[in-house]
Amino acid sequence: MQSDSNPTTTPRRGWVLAALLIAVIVVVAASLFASGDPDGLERVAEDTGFLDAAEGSPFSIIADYVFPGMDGPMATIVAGVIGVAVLFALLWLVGRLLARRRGSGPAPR
Amino acid sequence: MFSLSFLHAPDGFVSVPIMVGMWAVTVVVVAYAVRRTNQRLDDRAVPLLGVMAAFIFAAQMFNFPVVGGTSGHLLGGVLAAVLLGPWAATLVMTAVVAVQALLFQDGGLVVMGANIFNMGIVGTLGGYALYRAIAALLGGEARGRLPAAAVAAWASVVGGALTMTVQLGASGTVPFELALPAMLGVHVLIGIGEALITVAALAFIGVTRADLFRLRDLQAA
Repeated sequence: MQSDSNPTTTPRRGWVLAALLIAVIVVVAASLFASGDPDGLERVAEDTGFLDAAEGSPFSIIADYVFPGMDGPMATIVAGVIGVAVLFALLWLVGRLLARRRGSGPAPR
Repeated sequence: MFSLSFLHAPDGFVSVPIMVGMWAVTVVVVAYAVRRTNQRLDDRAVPLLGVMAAFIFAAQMFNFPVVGGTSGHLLGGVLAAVLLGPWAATLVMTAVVAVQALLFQDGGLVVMGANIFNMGIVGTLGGYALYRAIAALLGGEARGRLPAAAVAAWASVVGGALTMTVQLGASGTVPFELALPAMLGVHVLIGIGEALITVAALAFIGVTRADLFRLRDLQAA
């Protein structure tokens, strides 16, 4: 293997932070510009008459991406940033648990 | 109160037997995905796993307009699979759909098995297989990555809409022949958005961090 085929051995913290920043920018953009139109399934449910079959959730934490007690785009931004943080942490943890320790397996180092 | 977004079905859309069946299928596939990832995932892929989940969650909040006062958003399964491989990508998609339902009440709880299947499994595994096949036809991933990803991304949305429609029909929620043209008509268009975003994201990675495309090969077979 060529030396340049050694991914993420270069400092990766900066790249991860940049990628998370992009996710947060997408969240902010979504809270400001996302279409409020019904989406594909909702539209079809409306048009073909089964929207009424929808049942509400038995509990509500950050329902509809609106942080409780806040309103406007900020409520959605806070909700979205929480989601970004939770999913990043969750998959980092899952990855840590599942990943092969470097050097312990047959993979190139 | 409920919210619907894209293929995120709320509880009540799918009958109990279908929901139980979809949970069974989903649990088996996710368990297999864990097995295929465990001790095979290269630890250098771990940050990307977290980043993909965060990005896909954020992108799924962004509903873009399609024709006729309807919106859609990215699924992201093909994008994740191209970078992480199909099994790690399945875990990412499963987590996204689960967190959306548990924390944000986006998509029902009992129907979560079906939602994970439609949004996290069909398009991710099927889309990845299609991606590999098309890329091979085009002379390998290096040359065929973007067009192959575009077609696979589009197909992943249409495929998810198709399995959702089958579940709705089999549940007796709506006649299959009534729902099919409506679901396909909308999702054929949403799929174009999926293809555009997937290609843009892969092109961006190709310019900034092309070495990430080799991360998948580091995983032990």
